[in-house]
Amino acid sequence: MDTPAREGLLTKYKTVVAWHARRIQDTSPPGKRRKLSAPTCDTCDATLSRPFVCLSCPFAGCWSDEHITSHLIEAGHSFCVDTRSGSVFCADCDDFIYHPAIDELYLSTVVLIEEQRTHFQVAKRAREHYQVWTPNGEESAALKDATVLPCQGRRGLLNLGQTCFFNVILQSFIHNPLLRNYFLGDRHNTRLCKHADCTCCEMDNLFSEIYSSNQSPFGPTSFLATTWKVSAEVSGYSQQDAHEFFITALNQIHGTCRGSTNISCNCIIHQTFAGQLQSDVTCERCRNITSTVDPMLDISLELKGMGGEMGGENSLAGCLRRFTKPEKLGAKEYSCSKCTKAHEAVKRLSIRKLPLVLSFQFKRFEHKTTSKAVPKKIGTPVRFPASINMAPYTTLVMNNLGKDEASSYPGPETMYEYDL
Amino acid sequence: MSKSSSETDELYTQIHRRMVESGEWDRFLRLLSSKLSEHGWSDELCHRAKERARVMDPLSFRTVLEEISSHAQATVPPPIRREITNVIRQYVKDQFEK
Repeated sequence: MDTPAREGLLTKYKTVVAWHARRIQDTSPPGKRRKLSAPTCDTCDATLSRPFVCLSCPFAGCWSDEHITSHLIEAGHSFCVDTRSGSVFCADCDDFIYHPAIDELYLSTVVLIEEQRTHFQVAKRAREHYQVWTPNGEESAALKDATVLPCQGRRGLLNLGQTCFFNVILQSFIHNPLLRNYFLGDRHNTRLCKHADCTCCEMDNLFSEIYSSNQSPFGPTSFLATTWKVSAEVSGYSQQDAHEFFITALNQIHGTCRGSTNISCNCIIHQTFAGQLQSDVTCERCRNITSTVDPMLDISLELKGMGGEMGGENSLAGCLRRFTKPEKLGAKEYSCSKCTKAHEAVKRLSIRKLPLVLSFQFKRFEHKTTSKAVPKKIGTPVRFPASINMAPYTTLVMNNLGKDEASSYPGPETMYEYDL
Repeated sequence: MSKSSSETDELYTQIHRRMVESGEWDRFLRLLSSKLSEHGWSDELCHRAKERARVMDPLSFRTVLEEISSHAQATVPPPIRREITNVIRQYVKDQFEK
C-alpha cells in the first residue's frame, strides 16, 4: 500500500479509536444527564452500540447483519475497524488481521485519552504523559551486540526439604515484572552492597540465576539460609505458612533496599505492593464519621461470614464485598469522639489507595475460640477471575454511591482493571 | 393493548437509540460483564475459543464466533439472565412513563 494511503488509513484509525475511548469514559459515571450522539448504520439506520467504521470513507455499519462487510465489498474498500476493540477487519482475507503497527497505535491512542481524563485526587495535577523509550546512539550501539533472552523467566526450583511454601513465593517474585525490571536493571548491586545477610542481594542473585543460560532446576539454598538467619520463625525444616513468609520477605527486601525509610517509603517493595486501607466508623447517634487510614501490603479476606456459615458467594468479588460490608460494632467497643458516649457504631472498610500489584490472602485457618485444638483449615475453593475491576471496593467510589452527579470522577475504568 | 408490528419496530428503534445515547447501554453492558466475569463465564468462554482456535486450520474468526456463540448463549447462568432482563425491563418501563 502506498504511503499517503497508508498514512490516511492510520490517521482515520487513530481518530476512530480516540472517539471511542473518549465516549466510553464519558459514560462511566452513573447518573449523568448529558446525551451523547450515537452513530447510525448507513444501511439500516439502526443506532450503533458497537459501530464498525470503514477506514476509507465515512461509512459506519452493523456487524451482525453484515452491513459493514457488504459495504467493503461493494465499495471496493479493504479495511474496517471495530471501534470497541480496535480490531481491523480485512475484506480480502475475510478475517481480522493483526499488525504490530496497529497494536502500537491503538495502545498509544487509548493511553493518551486516558491520561487526559485522569485526575489525581490529592495533588490536583494532570497525569504524566507516557513517553516511549527510544535508545540514543550509545545505547543503540550497546544493544547491537546484546543477546535477546525471552522474558518469561521459566526455571524450576528444587524443594530443599518442605520448602514449597518458600518456592511458591519466590516464583511469584520472579514473575513479577516490576521486581524483575528492578533487579535485572541492576538497581541493587551485590558487589556494592554493605549489608550482611542481605535479602536484596539474594533477590539479585535469584534473578541472575533464573535468567542465566542454565535451565536445570535451581536450588535457592543461600536465599533460604539468609532467610533463616534474619527470621527465626521461618527457620527449620517444618512446613511454614506461605503468606507469613511473603510478608517477612517483603519486609526484608524493604529493609535492605537502598533509600528505604520507615515513613512513606519509596523502595521497590512499597512502590509495587503498598496500598492504603481506610476504616470509616459512623456513630449511630450523632452520625459523626471517624476515618483511619492504614498502610497495607496485601488484603486478607475472610472466607466465613459473620454468622459462621459459608456465604453463598465463593468468588473473589464475593469476598471483597464481604470485606467492604458495613459491620456493626457493639456499644462497648466504640466511644464516639464527638458525642463522647459509648454508642452503637458501624464500621466500614474500603481501599483508599490501590497498589500496582494487589495481593490477596484468603484466611483459611479458622481458630476455634472454645478449644485449644489445632486450627481447622477451610478448604472451600474460591473462584477468582482472570481480571477484576476494583473500583467498587475503593473509598472514592463507595463514597460516591447514591449521589446524582458524580462529584468527583473516579477516573478511567482501566485504572481499576487488574489482570491475574 | 396490541400494536402493529411496524409500530413496535418503531418503538424498539427509538428506545434503543435513547438507551445508547444516554449511556445506559454501556452501563448495562458493564454490569452484565462484571457479573459474567465473576461467575467464571467469561474466562470459560475465552478458554473454549482458544482451544477451538488452536486446532482450527485454516483459522477463521467467523467460524470460531459461530461455534462459541451458541454455547455462550446457552450457558449464561439463569440468575444473571433474569437480573439483567429485569434491569432492562425497568428501563423500558421508565421510558414509557416519561
